[in-house]
Amino acid sequence: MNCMEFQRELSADPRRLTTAALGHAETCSDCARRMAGQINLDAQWEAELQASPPVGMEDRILLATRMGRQKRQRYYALVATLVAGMAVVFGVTLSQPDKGSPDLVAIAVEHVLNEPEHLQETQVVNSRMLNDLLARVGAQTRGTLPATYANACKLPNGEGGHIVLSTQHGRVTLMLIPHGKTDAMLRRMMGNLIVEVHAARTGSYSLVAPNESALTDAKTLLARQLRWT
Amino acid sequence: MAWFGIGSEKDSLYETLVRAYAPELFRFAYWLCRDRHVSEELVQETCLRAWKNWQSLNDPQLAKQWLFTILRREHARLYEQKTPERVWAEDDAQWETMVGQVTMPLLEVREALVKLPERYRAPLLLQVLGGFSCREIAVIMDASEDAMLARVSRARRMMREMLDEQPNIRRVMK
Repeated sequence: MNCMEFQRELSADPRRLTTAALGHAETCSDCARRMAGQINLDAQWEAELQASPPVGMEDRILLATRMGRQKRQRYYALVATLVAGMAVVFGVTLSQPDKGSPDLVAIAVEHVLNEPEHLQETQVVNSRMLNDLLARVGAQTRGTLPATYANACKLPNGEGGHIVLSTQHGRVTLMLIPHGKTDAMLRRMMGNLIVEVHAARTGSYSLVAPNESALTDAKTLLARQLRWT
Repeated sequence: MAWFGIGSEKDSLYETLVRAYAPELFRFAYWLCRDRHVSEELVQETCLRAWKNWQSLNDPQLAKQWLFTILRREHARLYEQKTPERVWAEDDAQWETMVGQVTMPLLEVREALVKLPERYRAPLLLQVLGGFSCREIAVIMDASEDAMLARVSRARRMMREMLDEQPNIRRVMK
């Protein structure tokens, strides 16, 4: 191999040089220097062209995949319902599946993952704002709630409330979902998050916690400080 | 742990792939289009397409190359025709978040990279950031291996020429 051939190979892929090229570099100091320079340059470019992804991107992707699958499942459920409806016409009774409640968990988690910044910030939350939000699900505060963020938010099934509570074991998101009703408590692990959805006077509310202790803290807090009207 | 489905092997492998490769896909997408939001959309669309076309992943060992191929095609399909030439418009705060500290050599490497026409930039990024060989790049780019060898070489030469004109880079490189 001559120097020209070596340079051609080096500039095409310095990390995968052939044995012949490496042999040439051992005998040619100029080419050995070029090789070291190119490898250093590549390493420098690689280091300098970093771009860290947005926080929670992987979780959002996994959730979007799951939601997409649920849409397909809902489509099949719709087809099944139509078939069932036709069957009813012909005198066969089929029970309707509970289609609404499982989505409440996903709604809460998706909202939390889409707005991760609210878990970090600390706002001064006034009790009037808090009570306005809580009133949507038929609750009022008895005392103070250690909220670090509170705001109204748009949810797929209507407007709701987004509150972040500070507990001893981490921050917990309380999602108020007035337009989503559940008959039973729902609980699911989603990635590193624990999600529980509870029935409220109007609709439901969910707690999204980073660990079991934080969830227990939040539930204790709500039991003590909330009054259902 | 597969949490988004019924816990099948497919679910589990999919989650592993997303967690392993989404950051690398994002980085490649970012240097293709230079927009964080568009990049996240591209990565998300890539993963969703991968999920839908799971049966076309014949060999899990080739998963990374497969995902990069989907992303490259998705970028071409959605953005290549309509993306206007961008300038480096992000504010310093965004860059601080992304790369830690903005340094002059970094700015110059970025400027040199963005000046490369996309047909040269994409193969170079795939090699330098993705660690792919020219043969793999040829598959991802839907082109011949010889063409990719030529483009990567040309891209390196163009980058070197541009950076050689920058005094700060020359100082750093010595």
